This record gives sequence, C-alpha cells and structure tokens, in this order.
Amino acid sequence: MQIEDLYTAFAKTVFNLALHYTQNPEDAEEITQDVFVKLYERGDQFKGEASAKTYITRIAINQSLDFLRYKSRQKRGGGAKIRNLDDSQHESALHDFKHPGYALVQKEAVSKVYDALNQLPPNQKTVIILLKIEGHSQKEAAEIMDLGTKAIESLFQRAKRGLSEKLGLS
Amino acid sequence: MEPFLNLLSTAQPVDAPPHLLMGIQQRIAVKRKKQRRWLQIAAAAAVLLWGLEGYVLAKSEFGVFDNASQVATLVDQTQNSLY
Repeated sequence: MQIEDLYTAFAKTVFNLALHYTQNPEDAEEITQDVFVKLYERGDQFKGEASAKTYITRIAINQSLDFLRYKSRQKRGGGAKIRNLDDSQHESALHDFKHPGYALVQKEAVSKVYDALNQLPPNQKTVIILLKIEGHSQKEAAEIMDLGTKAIESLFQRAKRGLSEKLGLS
Repeated sequence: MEPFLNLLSTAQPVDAPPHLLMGIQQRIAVKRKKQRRWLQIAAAAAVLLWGLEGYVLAKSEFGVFDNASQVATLVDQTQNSLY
C-alpha cells in the first residue's frame, strides 16, 4: 500500500489520537508526520493478528507518548522557573490546551479534566483516551493495547480512581 | 466522575491539515535520497576493493615484490645456516 493511500485512510485517526494526547494541533501535526514516516520505513509490516487500523493506532499511541516524554525532558532541562515545581505542577505547566475538537464554551472545564488526565501514568491515560474519548469498545482497546479485556477493565478502574484523586473528587 | 468522563467524550473529530501530506512526502524524499547516497558509496567502495584485489593478484602472479624477494633471500640464508 502506498503511503498516500495510508494517509488518506488513516490521517484523521492518527491526527485526532495525537490531539487527545497533546491537546495541541502543532504537536499533533508533528506526531502525525512521524507516524507516517515510520510506516514508510517499516513497509507493510502488519502483523497477522492485528488489522491495519490497530497496527497504525499502536504506532500513533507510542509516537505520542514518546513525543510527550521528549517534550517533558526538554522543558525540564531549560528555565529555572520550572525546575522547582513538583510533578503535578510541572505537568500543568507543560499543558497548553489548544484542542480544536471541543466547543469554546466547554474549553475551560475540559482543560481542567485534561490537566488531571495528563498526570496519569501513560497506560492509564491511554485507556481513558481509547475508551472514553475515542469511543472504542473494551475488546478493541484490548487489541490495541495488546492486553486482555479484564486487564483493560482493571486499568480503566485504576485510571478513573486516579482521575478522581487528581480532580479532588475523592 | 462520570460527568467529567462524559465531558471528555464530547470531542469532535478534526480533519488533519492538508499540508501534512506534503511534509510527509518531503521527509520520505529526503530519506530516499540519503539511502541512494549510501548505496552509491557502498557500490564505489565495492568497485575500489575489487580493483585493488585485481591489482594485487596481477602483481603477485606476474610481478615481483621487492619485499618478497628479500624475504625469499632471507629464508634461503636461514635454511642454509640450518643445514
């Protein structure tokens, strides 16, 4: 399959997934480019057990998480005003909410929820994004994350508890 | 908790910007160019080595290395002294 065909089929999926991780269109653009360049490098290496969409979604998730780790390291390295923050303040400082997928009236409220979401461990953040934002079923999320459905349910419950704590609800 | 999760789920999918594809194609073109350059360097190195091997073989078969003749003399002398 040519890269242009893959792009036509999956660019929107990848871009929106990257947006949910970064909440920033410029960062999401960079991640989307990285994903398709990686697809070109790997050729048609779709594993037998996963569909093309699952395979590409996995790459997009990994690229998004790598990007966030890289950005976090960069910001920690520079600027004295960030250095003394604890982890939670640091994550909020990194957060620049520009997600275009939400109505303007909701942005402030949604931004607070994303602030809490960004403080979760990567796999908990991923399960929330897949189940609640992207609307995948548990079975689909399990296939993407290469886990059992019970593991997904357990991860989701831990993520909800974590989110409650960060939002000050528990 | 559910209201907050429901709030997250109101996200509307956004189209990927059209200029992204061009950016991807440019990056791939740069990669292809680099790959071609490496192939050219490898091919040139292979030709050079092949030529060098041919030269050395030809020299050893048809020509006399000064060092080799000196070594041969030394070997003869050593053998003579032994016997």
